Amino acid sequence: MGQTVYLIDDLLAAPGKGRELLAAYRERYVPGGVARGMTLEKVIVSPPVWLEEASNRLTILWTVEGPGGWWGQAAQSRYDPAVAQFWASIQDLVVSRRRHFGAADADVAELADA
Amino acid sequence: MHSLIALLHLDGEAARICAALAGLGAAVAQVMKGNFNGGDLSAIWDFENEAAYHAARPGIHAILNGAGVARADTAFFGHGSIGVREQGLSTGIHRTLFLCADRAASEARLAQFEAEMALMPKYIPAIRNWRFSRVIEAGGELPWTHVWEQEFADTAGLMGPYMLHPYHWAFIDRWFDPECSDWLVNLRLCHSFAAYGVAILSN
Repeated sequence: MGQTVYLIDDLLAAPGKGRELLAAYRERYVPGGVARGMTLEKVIVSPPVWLEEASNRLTILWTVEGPGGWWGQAAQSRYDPAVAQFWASIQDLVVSRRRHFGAADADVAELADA
Repeated sequence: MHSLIALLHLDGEAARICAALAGLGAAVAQVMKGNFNGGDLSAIWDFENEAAYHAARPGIHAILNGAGVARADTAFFGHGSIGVREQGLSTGIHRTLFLCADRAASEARLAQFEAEMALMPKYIPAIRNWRFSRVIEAGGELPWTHVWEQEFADTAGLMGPYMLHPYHWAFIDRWFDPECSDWLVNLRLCHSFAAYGVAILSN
């Protein structure tokens, strides 16, 4: 079960807060994520200009190795109060957020045949 | 039909308590290693209706609150969504999950959660038989709101295909994950499984 599993944070920043949100994420979330075995692959800023009057969308792509890697990070984050505190601390910087989990289309059949 | 499940944490002799529970009509089994807050003994009673439960309740609770029992988590429920793939399965393991869906639990969110949970067996064939129910009366550590029972052919079915299937970790688990915006279920759970040697969900 060595497929690459993607964890995707989709954060819609409060108007004018995109850069501040990303700085907080990089400073206070990324180190813990890396410590839980996640690899930060990409941060996409949409649109690619820091808006002052409207919202930037941050699409943050992490990877782990297989469902085992997924459960590994989940088991660590779920009971870590620092993780919950981080998400609570950025409430005023986001309009909405979602986290999705996925895999490459070529891996779907093997993963779903678990 | 209705059922009561009790997960007992013991500080006394198991054999005597097992016998007492069985004497009141329960299927009783030792909880297997690998559980999470699942107790030492699991006991399951079936009742024709709520009145039958209420008649039996004092005797059962005398044991659950009596000598040798440090704590018991309990859930009494009317049977909810039920499915049977393997009629009469008596050699497998029965898994019980008590959960408390207490985070901004609007009826719409609960309905979506319940519908998605009830579809797990469709995607995960290792779940041989199942029952997902809302709790009528709960006791123990939390006011448990739901009971999710599953039967597997063996522990490998629970530990392997059930845990590794993406319908579970990449879809359902968001209800249990504080990092996801859909988080609904209290982190404190009772995850318990046991081999009863009798069919529980397809009897």
